[in-house]
Amino acid sequence: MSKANAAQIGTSAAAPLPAPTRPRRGFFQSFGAWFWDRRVQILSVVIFLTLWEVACRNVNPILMPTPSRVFKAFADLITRGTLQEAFVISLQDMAYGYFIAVVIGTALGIVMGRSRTAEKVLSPYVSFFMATPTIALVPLVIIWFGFGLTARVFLVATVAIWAIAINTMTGIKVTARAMREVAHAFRLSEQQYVRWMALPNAIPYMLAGYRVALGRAVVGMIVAEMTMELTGLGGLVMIYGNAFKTAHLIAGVITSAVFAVAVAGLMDIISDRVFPWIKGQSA
Amino acid sequence: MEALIKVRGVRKVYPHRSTGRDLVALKGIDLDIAPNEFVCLLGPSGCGKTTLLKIMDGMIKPEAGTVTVGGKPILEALGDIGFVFQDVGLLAWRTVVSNVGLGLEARGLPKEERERLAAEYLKLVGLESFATYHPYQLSGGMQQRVGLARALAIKPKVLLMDEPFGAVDAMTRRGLQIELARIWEQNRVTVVFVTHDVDEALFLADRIVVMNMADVVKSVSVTLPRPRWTTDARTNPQYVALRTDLIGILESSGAVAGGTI
Repeated sequence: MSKANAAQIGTSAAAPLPAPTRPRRGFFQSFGAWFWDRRVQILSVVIFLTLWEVACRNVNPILMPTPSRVFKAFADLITRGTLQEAFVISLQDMAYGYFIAVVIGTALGIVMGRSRTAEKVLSPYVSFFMATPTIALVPLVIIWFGFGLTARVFLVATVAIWAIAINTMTGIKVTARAMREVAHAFRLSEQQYVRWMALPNAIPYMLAGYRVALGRAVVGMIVAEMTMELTGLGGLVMIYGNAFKTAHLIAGVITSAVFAVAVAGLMDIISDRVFPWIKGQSA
Repeated sequence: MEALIKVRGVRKVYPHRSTGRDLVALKGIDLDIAPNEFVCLLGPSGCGKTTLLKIMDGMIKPEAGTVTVGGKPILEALGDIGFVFQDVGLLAWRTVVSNVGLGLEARGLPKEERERLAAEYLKLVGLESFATYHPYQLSGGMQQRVGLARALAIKPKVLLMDEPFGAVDAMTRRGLQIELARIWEQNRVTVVFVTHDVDEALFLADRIVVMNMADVVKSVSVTLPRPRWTTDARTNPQYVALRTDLIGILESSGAVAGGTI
């Protein structure tokens, strides 16, 4: 923002602005600063964990283990390699399924956004699948694909596509009238209009769709791993649940949550880097 | 001199479905604009001036009447017309230089050629050092100057400007008016400039076409000497007389004119 403010001075003799410089700090200093900036959040987590520990000390660990037991379960899962193995399988399910969803969903959204006929033909199905609960699709997917990787990937993709398609379509359709007038004034062809205006204009909508779809894809992934062949993080949670190893189960749930948050955070960082103008526009 | 732009019997009606009472935006306008003339369309909001300007660029189709530019019907002359929008309409995802090159890119100019031209026009509006910035990093006044450079870069014969300085603060507006007058005196394209500001029209125009209620009320020649950005320009008796006349014309046509309308 400081860059934008500085650029607003002067109407005639405009000088280039110096590149924004951040004071250089050593590694430990910036590490310390990171913690200091988040001191309230960290304190909140510490208090929560302490209360949990105190409250559950005399509770049967099968019902609710203490955080220290969960921590031990983490250590156990990591030293035995179980967690890493499950994580890699989950990552693989997500990567394939989500990638397919992004490609098909985006293409579908563009077609529906540009063609009224395509929108009318396709929208009932998009709405239908958007509303279908993930778990209801499981038996059908098993009948079609069995219990393996293909079935899990299919489920992940199927639950994620629709949010992407709907958001992309909306983004393409809302290209402002002002933009259309600019396209007319500078004699852009239909193809140029789509490539230079409608598509870039839709990017913020598409990114929002990718975020929503990501949440749905993680749910699809866990459901697939729990209900088909017990594998990945979903399978891990299920197996330890059946064995009443509650601390291990909770460790699996926490890993799934951290995984989802990390992927979402990574997406935000990438989109800020690649499309800096989106934040600038809304600021 | 033969007129460059000829507007003949242009009529535009906006239908109003729920009441059935249609809104007449233009009653049947005739207007001639000479080559290299700077014409301001002056009138209160809703008088039809922006509609007329958009018809002159083929953005809006009139119910009746024709517009020709250099003898050609409007849709064949589009390549000769540059347009500056009130809300600029820069592409947020493009850099400043790439925005200026938009029209050139649409015409298929090679990259080096259009970057050279875009840089040239950025220099003309005094923004050469902001070429690699994105629009959100510029102030409103600077964005409007990018919009002007973008329109000029296609080397139009006619420049149509739709209240381009309406959305900026008074001091920035003054700076932009001076900048436009300076550029126009170097490079006298034909300009049609829509405004509701009497002083802006007097500062820029060779001729002011006063509009109200979907019609042309009067055409007034502005014979004030140029440049007009000297501090005493507004106290010049000729300026004061013209200003009083214009406000009188607007008020007698039914517009409420308290100086700036």
